[in-house]
Amino acid sequence: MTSPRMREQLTERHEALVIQLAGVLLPGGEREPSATDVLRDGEWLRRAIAAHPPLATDLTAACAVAERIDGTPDAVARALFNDHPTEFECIALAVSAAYYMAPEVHASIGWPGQVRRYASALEAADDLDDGILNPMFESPPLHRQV
Amino acid sequence: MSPILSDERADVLIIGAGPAGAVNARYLAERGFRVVCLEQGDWVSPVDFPGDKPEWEMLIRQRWNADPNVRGGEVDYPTEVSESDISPVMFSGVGGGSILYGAQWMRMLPSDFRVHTLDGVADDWPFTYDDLLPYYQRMDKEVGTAGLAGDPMYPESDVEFPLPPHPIGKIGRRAARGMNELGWHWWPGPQAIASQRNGNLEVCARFGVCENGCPQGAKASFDLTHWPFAIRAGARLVTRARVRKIRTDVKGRATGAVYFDQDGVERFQPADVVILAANGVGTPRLLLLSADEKHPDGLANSSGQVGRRLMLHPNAEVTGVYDEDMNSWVGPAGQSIVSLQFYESDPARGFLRGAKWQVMPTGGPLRALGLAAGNTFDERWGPAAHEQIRATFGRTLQWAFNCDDLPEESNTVTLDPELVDSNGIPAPRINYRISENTRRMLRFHLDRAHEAHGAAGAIRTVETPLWHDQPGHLLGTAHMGDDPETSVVDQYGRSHDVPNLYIVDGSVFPTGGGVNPTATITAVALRSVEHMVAQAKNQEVPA
Repeated sequence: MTSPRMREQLTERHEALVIQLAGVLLPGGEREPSATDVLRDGEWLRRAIAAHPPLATDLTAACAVAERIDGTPDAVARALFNDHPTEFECIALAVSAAYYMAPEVHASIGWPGQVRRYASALEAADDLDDGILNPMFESPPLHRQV
Repeated sequence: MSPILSDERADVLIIGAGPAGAVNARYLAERGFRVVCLEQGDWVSPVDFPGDKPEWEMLIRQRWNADPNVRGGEVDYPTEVSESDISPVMFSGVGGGSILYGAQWMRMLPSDFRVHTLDGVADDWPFTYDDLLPYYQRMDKEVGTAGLAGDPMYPESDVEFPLPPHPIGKIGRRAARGMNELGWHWWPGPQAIASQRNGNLEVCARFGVCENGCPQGAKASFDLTHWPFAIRAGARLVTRARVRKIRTDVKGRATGAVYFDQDGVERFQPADVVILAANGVGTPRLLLLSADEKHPDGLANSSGQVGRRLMLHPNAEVTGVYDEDMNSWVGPAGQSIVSLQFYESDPARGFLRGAKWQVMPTGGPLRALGLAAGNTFDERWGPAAHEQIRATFGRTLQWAFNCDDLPEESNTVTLDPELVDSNGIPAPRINYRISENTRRMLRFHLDRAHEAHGAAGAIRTVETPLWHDQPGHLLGTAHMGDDPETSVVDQYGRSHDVPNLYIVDGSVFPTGGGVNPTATITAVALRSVEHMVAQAKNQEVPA
């Protein structure tokens, strides 16, 4: 389902086009879901656009260029990449930004996302307790004499 | 129409609520001075910062970008940079540049204060490292620096930190092994980030987004560390107040400042003493804007040095890709470890001065995808995109560095004849060109950074030969010195020309050093305000 904000920014036709191209740029992988599946309801795409407002206008213009290219989504993506790099990069940014917001994508790449990850009380000491800093502890003063 | 006169005369008017202004405001207010601070920006709440939100990598492209020309906010002033190799970055708001800094809390080295004596170029500072040492130590306590004592690059036993160091993490350990292999200096990076809960600061949650604002409230930005104390002691902080001119009386003393309030109404804030803390671009801009019949070249500018000798610490970096998952999104970011191996001058390298290195984490998945920029379609997209993420995301670390760019008369801040801010005030024009000395320095350090990655076992490296929008170290444009003919302020920041006008930001640096400057800016500001108060009985003020 397309959110109201999304319809303000992209027409449903353009949204469908972006989601089709997303599947070319980021298809399903060994563990990774396909971007077409992840972005299907438009929510992550909407958030990506809302986070970077200039993207809405640029994306609309890029979609207009893409619509003039005949062919499969793969052919359209390649034609954009080769002949309309600015428009391609705009679509690629929107697609990748939206895709990597999704929790199921985070899980597939082993990333917890932007969460709090406090250090344990001993972690700083543990990082150094194998003597890795010894060459510096054993070093004579290195600063230039003035 | 004349500006509306404030009904409260200040003992001290501070222009700019960034680190230096905050340090001065707190010090003065806690000693009973009536302090008013005019700040063009707003307060920012940690909950507004992007770093704990899924779309943070998009939010930093504009809304939270460090470049005012990219942000384009109403409280920002634009900068004309078409003739500049670097776009100065800054933040307008309570806390100033510390809102978006990395909190790399580095002292300059003793040699930084003696560049002319040691290297025969530029100037010595009018005081020494030892003179500034007590102020460095006090600022460490005020911000709660986290670090490890014993760095052999600093005079022995000078550095003690109030908070224990942060973990250097997997990226720090990997990089350190390479440095040990080469026999090069490294040390856990000191950071003004709370490793334990400290004062108004929460303990770091390692989001890894320090330079985009800390959503945890763990970074020592001066809206958190100093302004609450200053306000509690009676300082009045006026936000959305954009100063357009410092006025003087017939005897050449500053009488206060004319500013636009948030409704665009022009007001005048009278004061006995005026302190400029508007950064190395904003301060010369205001001095030049304050030109009048008696000061046709700008206020405090009989030397002609206002706006000259802009130093920006050109930054570059080399990212290494490794065969190990290092969780390289984990903060602080920040600096995991630092190196000053090539900081001191060695003329055999073909240039003078040097650079400070730091290992930084490398951010989110969009940044990882960006490492494939320039590749063919089939190398970047489709199955290759997933392969790129598997091979690089969490598996990279960055050696970045600040270059000590020496002061050049031709690197300037002036007033642009056309560009204006949202109040119609002329914007600063930046003319900054990287010198041949600095170009050689950049290349040398890039080459060494590739070597450092190689020694640490990197599979491949990708370099950024110059960051055009980093690092926000705005220095040198109203430099201090003993001679009024060749400098703008004395060693305590007092204008040679205007006896009750002080400058306390990075403008006053005679040379820039190569380390992140906020520790030094605030230590110098603290030294200045302490002297100002000690001499208050003798302070000349307007009638």
